[in-house]
Amino acid sequence: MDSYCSPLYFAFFLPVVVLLYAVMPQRHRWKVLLLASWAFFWWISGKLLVYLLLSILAVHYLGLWMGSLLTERDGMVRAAERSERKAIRAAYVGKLRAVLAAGILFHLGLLLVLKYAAFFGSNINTMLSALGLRWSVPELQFALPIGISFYTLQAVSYLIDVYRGTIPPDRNLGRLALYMSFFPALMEGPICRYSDTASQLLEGRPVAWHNLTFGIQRILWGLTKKMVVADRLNPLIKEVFSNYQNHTGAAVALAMVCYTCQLYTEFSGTMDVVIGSAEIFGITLPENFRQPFFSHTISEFWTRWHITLGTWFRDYIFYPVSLSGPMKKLTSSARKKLGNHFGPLIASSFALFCVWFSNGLWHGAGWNYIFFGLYHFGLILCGSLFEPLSRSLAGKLHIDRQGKPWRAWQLARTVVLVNIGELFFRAEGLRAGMRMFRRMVTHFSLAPFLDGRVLQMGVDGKDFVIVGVTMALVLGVSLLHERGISVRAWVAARKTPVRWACYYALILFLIIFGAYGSAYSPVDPIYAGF
Amino acid sequence: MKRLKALNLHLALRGAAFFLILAALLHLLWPIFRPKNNTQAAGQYYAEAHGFLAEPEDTIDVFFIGDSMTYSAYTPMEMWAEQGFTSYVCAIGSGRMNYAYELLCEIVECQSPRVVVLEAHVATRGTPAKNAFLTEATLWFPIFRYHDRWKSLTLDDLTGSVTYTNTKLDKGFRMNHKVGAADAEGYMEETEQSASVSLITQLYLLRCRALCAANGIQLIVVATPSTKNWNYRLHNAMEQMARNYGIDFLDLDLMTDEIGIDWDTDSRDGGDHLNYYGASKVSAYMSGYLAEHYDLPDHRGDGAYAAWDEDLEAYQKELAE
Repeated sequence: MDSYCSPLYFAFFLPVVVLLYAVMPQRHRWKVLLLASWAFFWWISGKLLVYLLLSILAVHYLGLWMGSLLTERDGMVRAAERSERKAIRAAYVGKLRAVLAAGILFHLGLLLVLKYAAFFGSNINTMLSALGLRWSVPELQFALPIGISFYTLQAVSYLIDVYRGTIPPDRNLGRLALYMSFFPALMEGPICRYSDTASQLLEGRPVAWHNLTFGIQRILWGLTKKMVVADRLNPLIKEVFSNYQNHTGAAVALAMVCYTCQLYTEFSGTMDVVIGSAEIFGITLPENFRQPFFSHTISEFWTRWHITLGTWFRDYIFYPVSLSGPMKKLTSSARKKLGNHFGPLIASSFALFCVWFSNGLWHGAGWNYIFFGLYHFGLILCGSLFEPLSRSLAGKLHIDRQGKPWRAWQLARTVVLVNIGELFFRAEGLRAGMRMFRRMVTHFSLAPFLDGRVLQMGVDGKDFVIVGVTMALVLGVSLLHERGISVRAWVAARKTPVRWACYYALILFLIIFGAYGSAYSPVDPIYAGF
Repeated sequence: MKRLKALNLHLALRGAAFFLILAALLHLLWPIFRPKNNTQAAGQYYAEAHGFLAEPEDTIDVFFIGDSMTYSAYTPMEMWAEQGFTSYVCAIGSGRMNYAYELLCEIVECQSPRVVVLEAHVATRGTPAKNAFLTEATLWFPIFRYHDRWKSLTLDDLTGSVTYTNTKLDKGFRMNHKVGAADAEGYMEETEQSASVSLITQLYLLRCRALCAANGIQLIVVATPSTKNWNYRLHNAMEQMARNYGIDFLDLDLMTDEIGIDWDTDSRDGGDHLNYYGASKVSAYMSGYLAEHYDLPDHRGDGAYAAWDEDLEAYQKELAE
C-alpha cells in the first residue's frame, strides 16, 4: 500500500476498517480509527511511527502545560485589582511563549532535520567550497516518515490555537492522537484544524447508508481522475522532463500542460479519495480544492488550490507577521510617505515573502521549490503594485473590468501563469526548469506535432482523446460546482434506474479507461513526497 | 426494531442487486474485449506465454511455467525427441506467482497435463499486492486484464469468434546461441541461512498446488541453473516450503556437474540465463528425470501426434541453419 489510490487501500484496508468500525460499539469506534491509523502508518513507514508518537506526546503535554498556565493566569487576573491585571498578563506571556516556542521548535526542528538536512548540508558545502574553504558539513540523509510535513503543521496549529486561547487544551490523549494521525488525512492532508475535526473523530457516528454511498461515489470520482488522466499522462511527462534536451519547445510546452493536468487530477483525485473515505465514517474533512482553474488572479488561485495549506500560512504566518508590532509601525510610517495603497504594501509584502518562501520550502528540499514559492510571491506582489495602473489604463481604454472578455482574459492569464509555475515545480532542479522554460521560447517548433513524434512518447492519439474527454467531464463537474450544484446530490435525487445508470457508467469508465495493469506505470503520490 | 431490521435487509438486498448487475455488465462486456486470437497484435496479454492456446485440446503432457530462466532453459522439441512426451513452456519475463497461477488457470481450461513444472525463481520471488489484486479481479472478470483493448476494438469484436493461431515450433522456448561466460565462484556455496518468501507468493503456491490436485496434475518445483539468480539461501527457503507444503522440489543448480553445465559456454549473459547449449543439456536431463519419476506417455509414432514429428523436423532444420 503506497497510496490512497492503490487497490490495497480502497479494496482491502478501507473496507476492513469500515467493517470493524461498524460492528464496534459507538464508544469504542474512535479506537478502531486510531489503531487503523497507526497500522496504516506502520504499513508504510514501519518503525518511523515513533516520530509520530513523539509528536503526539509533545503536543499533548505542551498543550496541557499552556492550558494550566492560562488557567493559573486567568485565576490570578480575576482575583487581582484592575490596575494589576495588565502586569499579571504580561508576566505570563513570557512563560506561554517559551512553552509555545519549545513546541514549535521541536516540531519544525524535527521536520528541518529529517527533510532538509541533506539540502542544507549540500548548499553549505557549495558555499564553503566557493569561498575556498576546506571544511565541509555532513549531508545527512534520513528516512522520512509519511505525512510528516502535514501532521507537523497540524501540531503547530494546535499549539498556537491553545496559546491564543482559541481552543482549550485537549485532556483526552486518544482524541488528540487521532486528530494527529487520522489515516485518511495522514499522508497528503487536508491539513485539518483541531477545532474543525477533533470532536467529530471521537463521536463514533454510525456508518450511515447515505454517508457510505456518497463516500464511495467520491472515492470513485477521485480514482477516475487519478487513474484515467494522471496515470495515463505519466510516460510523456517523465520522458520530456527527464530528457528535455531531446525535445522541441512545443513538446516541452505540451509536457508542461500535461503536468499541470496530472498534478491537479492526481492531488484533487487523491483528496476525493481521502475526503470520501472520511465521509464513510461520518467525518467531514475540509475541502482542499474549489475549482482552481476558474480563478481570475493568482491570489484567487491560491484560495482555491490546496486551500488548507493556504489558510494555514495565512493564519499562522501572514497575519502574525503583518500584524506584529514592528510591521504595524512600518505600515503607519509608510502610509504617511507613500499613501494608502503603497504604504501598507511594504509590511504585507514582507509577510507575503515569508509565506511564499515557507510555501516553496515546505513543498520540498530543492531550489526549484523555493523558486516556485517566490515566483508566486512575485506575481501576487506585481498584481498588488500594478493594480492602480491597471485600473487607470482600463478606464482610459474603456475596458469593462466586469465584462466577459476581460474576465476570460484574466482566466487565460492565470492558467498560463500557473502552468509556468508548475513547470519549475516538476523540473528536475532549478537549472533544468530554467533551461526548459528557455527551450519553449528558443527551440519552439511544431514539427513533433506535425510528424506525429509527439504521439510516440508513451501517450498515443487515443490516450489523448480519453484524457480530453475526462478533462471535459472534470470541467463540466467543476462548472456545476461553481454554480453551487452538487452533482452527487443531483444524481442521488434521481430515480433508481437513472441513478444506477450513472454509477455503472462511472465504474465502467474507470475499469475500461483506467491506466492500470502491466502496460502502465502509475504516477507516485505526488504530495506524499512533500 | 422490526422496521430497522426490515430497512437493513432492504438496503442489503439493494446493495446485492447493484453488484450483481455490475457483475453481469462486466461479464457481458468480456466477449467484446476478449482478444480474438492469441497474438500480440490481437491484444493477447503475454502472447508468447499463451502459445498453448493454439494447440489442440488435451494434447500437452507437461507444462513449464516460469520466467525468463524457464523459456531460456527448456526446449520441448528436444524433450519430445528424447522421451516422446509433449510439453509447452509458458513463461513471462520477471514472472511472479500471480501470473503463474493465472496461467495455470488458463491451462486447465483447455489442457489436461499430467505434470506442471513450476520455476523455483518464481516461487520464491516477491509478489506485489497490486499484482495480486489485478490477478484476483482478472480471475473473476478477465476484462480487468484486457481493459486496454478499447484502443483496438473494431466491429468484428462485437460479432467475431475466437480463433487461436499463434503457436510456434519452439513451443514457448526462446532459442539463443550467444555465449557469455559466467563467474561461478561462490555460486551455491552452502549456508544454513534461508531467504524469506512473501506471504502472497506462498499463498499462490498453495493455490497452484490445490488447482493441480483438483485436476489430477503432479506439481514439481524446479530451480533452473542460474549463477546470478539462485543461491543456497533461496534453495533452503524453497526446500523448506516444499517440505511444508508437500510439493516435489528439484534444484538443478546442485546438479550442474551431473547435467554437464559448463559456465564458460552454456550461458548467454554471464550466468543470468542459459543459452541454447545449456538449454539442450538441461532439457535432456529434465526429460529423463520426468520420464523416470512421473507417469508420462510416449506419443512417438502415434498418428494423432504426427504434427510434433513435423515440428521436430522443422526445429532441427532451424537448428542446422
